[in-house]
Amino acid sequence: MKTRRLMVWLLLLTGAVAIAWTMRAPLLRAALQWLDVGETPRRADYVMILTGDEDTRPFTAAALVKAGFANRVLVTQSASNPQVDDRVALPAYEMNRQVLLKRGIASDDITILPGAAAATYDEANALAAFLKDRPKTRVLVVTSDYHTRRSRWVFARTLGDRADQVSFISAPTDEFRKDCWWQDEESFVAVTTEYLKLAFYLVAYGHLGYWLAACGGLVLVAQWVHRRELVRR
Amino acid sequence: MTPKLVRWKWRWLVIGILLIGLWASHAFVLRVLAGFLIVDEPADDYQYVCLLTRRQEPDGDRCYDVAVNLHRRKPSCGVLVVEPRRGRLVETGVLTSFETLSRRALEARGLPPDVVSVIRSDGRDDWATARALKAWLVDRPDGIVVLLCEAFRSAHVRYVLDAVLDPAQAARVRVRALSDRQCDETQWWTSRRGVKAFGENWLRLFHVRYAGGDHLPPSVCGADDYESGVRRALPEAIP
Repeated sequence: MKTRRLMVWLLLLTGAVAIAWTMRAPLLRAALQWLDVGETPRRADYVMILTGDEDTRPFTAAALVKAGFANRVLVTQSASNPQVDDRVALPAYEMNRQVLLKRGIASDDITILPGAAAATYDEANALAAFLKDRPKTRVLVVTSDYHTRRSRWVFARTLGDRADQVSFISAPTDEFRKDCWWQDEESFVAVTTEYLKLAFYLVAYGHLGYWLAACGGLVLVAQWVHRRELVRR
Repeated sequence: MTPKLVRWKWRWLVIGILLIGLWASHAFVLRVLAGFLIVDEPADDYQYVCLLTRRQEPDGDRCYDVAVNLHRRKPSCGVLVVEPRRGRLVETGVLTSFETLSRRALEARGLPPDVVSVIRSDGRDDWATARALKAWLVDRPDGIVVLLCEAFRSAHVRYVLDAVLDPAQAARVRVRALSDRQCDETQWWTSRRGVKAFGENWLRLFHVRYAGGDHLPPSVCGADDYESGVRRALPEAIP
């Protein structure tokens, strides 16, 4: 009886793996698409650029400003690193600022939000502090397409009721091969780390850890009760 | 106590001891895991020192200092700079090219400018670097090249070099792993930067071993084309 049940489970598992393998291309493409929750932009007061991917995000922000979606740009001050300290690299916020200036955005229209942001969470806090006395201000947050889902989650948690003041705009990533991202090393690393970071954020800043512990506890209790019933019989 | 309960008691005791042992030795285990990412091949005899970039930043902490020290040890050696394909940040003038940055940094450290030569590659990843090095090595049948890179990236660089270069050429390129002053193999797990570097480089190594191969990079458009592409996709600005 036990062997038959085990065989059934093994058969089901093999079937699931075979189906997943056959459908791997569409499933993997869907996995990348799921990360992109970018919205259609509407007019706002500010465009905010999240740190990272400086060869796409500030160019997208410049395009939004020139198309009339906002007049001003917010850039968060980033944490330093040894290359910056040695002056062989520019800080990320300075790269963003320089791109905006080169693309025709006036210096007075660029605001640097103070802080030493080392993660999306820090940038969300910086925006929350900025919006504290600006209840009617609308912001378009520009980040890479595969980064929008996690950013939206983090900003929603940090901003709370103010989250509807913020919309997320995807900056297209042209160094990816989106239809076969898993075959290219850079896109594989970017997408996989994005999922790992999402899981980390859900556990560290969300309630996923508690839910997992609760489910684990329930499973153990159910197993213990089941075994006791078997022993009684 | 029933035999079953006794068995379970011993099982939980063993699991507890294993967990405590793992916790007590976690530093050792994590250092070993980081060790798989590192390939360091010191060379006493070398004719060239090679500098790489990752996204226009020099790869490896203090790589210019190390390059100059190696040159001082052997004044006859040359310094190679692998210039990647230019991206939008260089095109718009926000960043200087890696060649210009490197020449400036090396000259500031006292290296004569005529010692530096440049190899141009057609991409920005290790495969492009390896292809560029292969073409350069064909014209120079002798000479050992010491290639400087970030420690956690070194195993990946070594793997790619061995895949692209033929065995004789690969034997002439020695990879030197440069430890990062903020996070190295002895304490990488204590900082966010270290965890990120460890995780990303493990993923790269995994991909290159089991799914990767030489590939040409996708073509990337210039700054004007990128911006106009984004603008074309935008609707009208409505409140």
